[in-house]
Amino acid sequence: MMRPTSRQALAILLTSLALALGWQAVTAVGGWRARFGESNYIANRIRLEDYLLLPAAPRQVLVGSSLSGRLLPEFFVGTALADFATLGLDGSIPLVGLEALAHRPDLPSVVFVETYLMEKPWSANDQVLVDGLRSPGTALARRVPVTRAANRPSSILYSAVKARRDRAGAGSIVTNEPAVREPGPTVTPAPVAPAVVDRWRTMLASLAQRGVKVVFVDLPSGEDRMPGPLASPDLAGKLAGDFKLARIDLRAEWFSRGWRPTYTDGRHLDAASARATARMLAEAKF
Amino acid sequence: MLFNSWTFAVFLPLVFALHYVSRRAAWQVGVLTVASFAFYGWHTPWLVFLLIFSTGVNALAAQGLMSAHITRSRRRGILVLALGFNLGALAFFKYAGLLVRTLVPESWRASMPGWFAEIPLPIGISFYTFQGISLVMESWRAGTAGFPGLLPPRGPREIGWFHARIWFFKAFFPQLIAGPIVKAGEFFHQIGPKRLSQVNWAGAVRKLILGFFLKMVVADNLKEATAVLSYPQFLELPRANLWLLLYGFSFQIFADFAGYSLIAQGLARLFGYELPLNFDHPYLSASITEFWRRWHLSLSSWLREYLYIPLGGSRHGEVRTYLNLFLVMFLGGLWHGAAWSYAIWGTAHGLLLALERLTGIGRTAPAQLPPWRRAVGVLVTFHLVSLLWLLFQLPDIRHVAAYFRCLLTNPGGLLPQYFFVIVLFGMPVALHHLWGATADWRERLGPRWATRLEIFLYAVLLFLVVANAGTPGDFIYFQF
Repeated sequence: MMRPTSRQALAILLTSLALALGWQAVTAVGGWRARFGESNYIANRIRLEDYLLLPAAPRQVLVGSSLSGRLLPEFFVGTALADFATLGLDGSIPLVGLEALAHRPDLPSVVFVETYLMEKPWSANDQVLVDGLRSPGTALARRVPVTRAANRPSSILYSAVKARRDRAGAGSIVTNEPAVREPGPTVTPAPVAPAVVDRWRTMLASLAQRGVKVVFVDLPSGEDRMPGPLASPDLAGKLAGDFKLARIDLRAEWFSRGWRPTYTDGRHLDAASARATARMLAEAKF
Repeated sequence: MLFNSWTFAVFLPLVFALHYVSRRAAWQVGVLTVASFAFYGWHTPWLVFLLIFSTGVNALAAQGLMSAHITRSRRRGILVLALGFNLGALAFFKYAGLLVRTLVPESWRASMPGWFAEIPLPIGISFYTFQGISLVMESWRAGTAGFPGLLPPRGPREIGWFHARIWFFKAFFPQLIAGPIVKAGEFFHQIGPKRLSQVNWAGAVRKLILGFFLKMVVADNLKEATAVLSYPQFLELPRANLWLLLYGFSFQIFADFAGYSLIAQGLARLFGYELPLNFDHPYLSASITEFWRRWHLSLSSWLREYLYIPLGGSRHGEVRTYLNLFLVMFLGGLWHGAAWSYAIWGTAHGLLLALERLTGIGRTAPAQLPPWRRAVGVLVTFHLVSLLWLLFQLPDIRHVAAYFRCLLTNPGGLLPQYFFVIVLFGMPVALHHLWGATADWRERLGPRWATRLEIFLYAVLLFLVVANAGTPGDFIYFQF
């Protein structure tokens, strides 16, 4: 005969299990899933798990920060980059996205690397994400849908609220502004820590060895006119030279057309500009 | 090792199974002691040596203080040495850097060895040192008579068991790193053979679920939003967000610390031990006096018993009482960390306590206050406490002043993401307090319905722990 205290504990566990199964069924039947996270960590987990759960690695992947995160895969539908995934991780450096690629057995054939935060050293937040990838939690998420970030009740609610807000505030592209073609002042690249350079060299050598083509991409990050020339090569420039990699400057592409991108918060592209940027990337030669 | 880590998920069942393999108290105490040292040294093994040294010294001191074969003056000497050792270790590891930075001129500091100003803070030292002091003080007070659960050893076999229990008391892993601070008199009488059939499963499971929920769902989801409570990030934020972040941090620090304490209590229950209550719905307090009867109760109780009362408490007139109050709150503040901001935090609480004592605000029993007066009191106290938490996030007092200025002057409205996160994940803290305030109403439901309601609510919390946890990481109080 079970004691009342044991019975209560068991009742809690069984009711919780029923709730989890119920939630799993509701999200599957209703097609509810979060596209956005209410924090950087959750948003990144959603993207990483989505990538790891794809049946096969896409042919092209864009890795980078939240700037890249705006270039959603559906923007590439019907373009030369139709089999495309974005690993734009909020608040993270592109190296984290590159680390994530190794957590699948197959690799993409082309990796676009956003240059914006390349010089930034590895942070504690980056480590938390990579630790998460290596943890049993990620393995569990592959098998138990209720533990996936995209099935979090709060993130599903947040995604619904955000999608509604974004629809209400979608911007439009302002065209034919000749003034934006005028380049800004010369830019002196910030010095980069040797440890950061070494980490990049190791990663690029490893990708080259495994037959992955790497292309650097400069994305608009708050500029409202053509960026000025560099006083000396930046990290991406040096690495592109050493490893013979292509580099696509989409900022220059925007402003050379006389277009000015629009941003949601002064740094991140809004949906209309992100869509246009995606097209430019798909049309680029590399 | 963290409670919310995968390593711990393997560690706990293993220790649990080993503990109940035998019904002999010696085996069980041995298993838990060895496991506790492994738990403590998991990430930084050298810390174990410090804990071993601290435990060994306190155990020998306790044995000496209870011995019938030493003189009174020698006992006094042992007491002074043991207290000096505990306070000295705490001062060296926790405050040496602060004292050097404060007292030694910069020109001299340059010639000092660099490590002196950067001594690493061993995790949990504030907690286990206070437990060591409690053991020494209880042994001093009890003398040769001993106290329940710890009698002076007679013969070599008893000496082994005497020391084994002290090592267990000092190292017991559920409360080792961040409390609750257990006083010797509360623990030793519980040591004995434990049976699996006697485990209070419902009690343990409830504490664990609520604790993990508060930590993993509430605190961990709030922490990324409240991370902007740092200089200079907050300078550009609209004032409505700054208020919201202040509330968010209040909810987070409560959820994080109360969560840890509840997990510790739940774990201890799995092994047949009861740890003291650490939080009693503190944000329902209608005065700062009441707040300190509800917040971090094990520290308040420790400070009262081993500091305030030995200083004379309120027995030597008004002036001395105020002085004692100030001193206790100042030291209580400094206990939290080696920075003057913590001392200011403690002193500010001391000032508010003194003010309430002077005006008689805190003297009326909470239940006797009219509802409107209680509501106003709760609102004012919550705001005062929240404003003072700022000192935990912004150690530089100039940054705190800048925050206050921004709170009043920064233009702009609410940023939707902060609003969503803080309202959604702050709500459970408010509901938890409401739950505490509606105990009478729940009693009227009758035991059957009250139990059913509780089972359902705990099941929801457990589901959310699995499905809606936030960014993993340390507990805030680990740094203290």
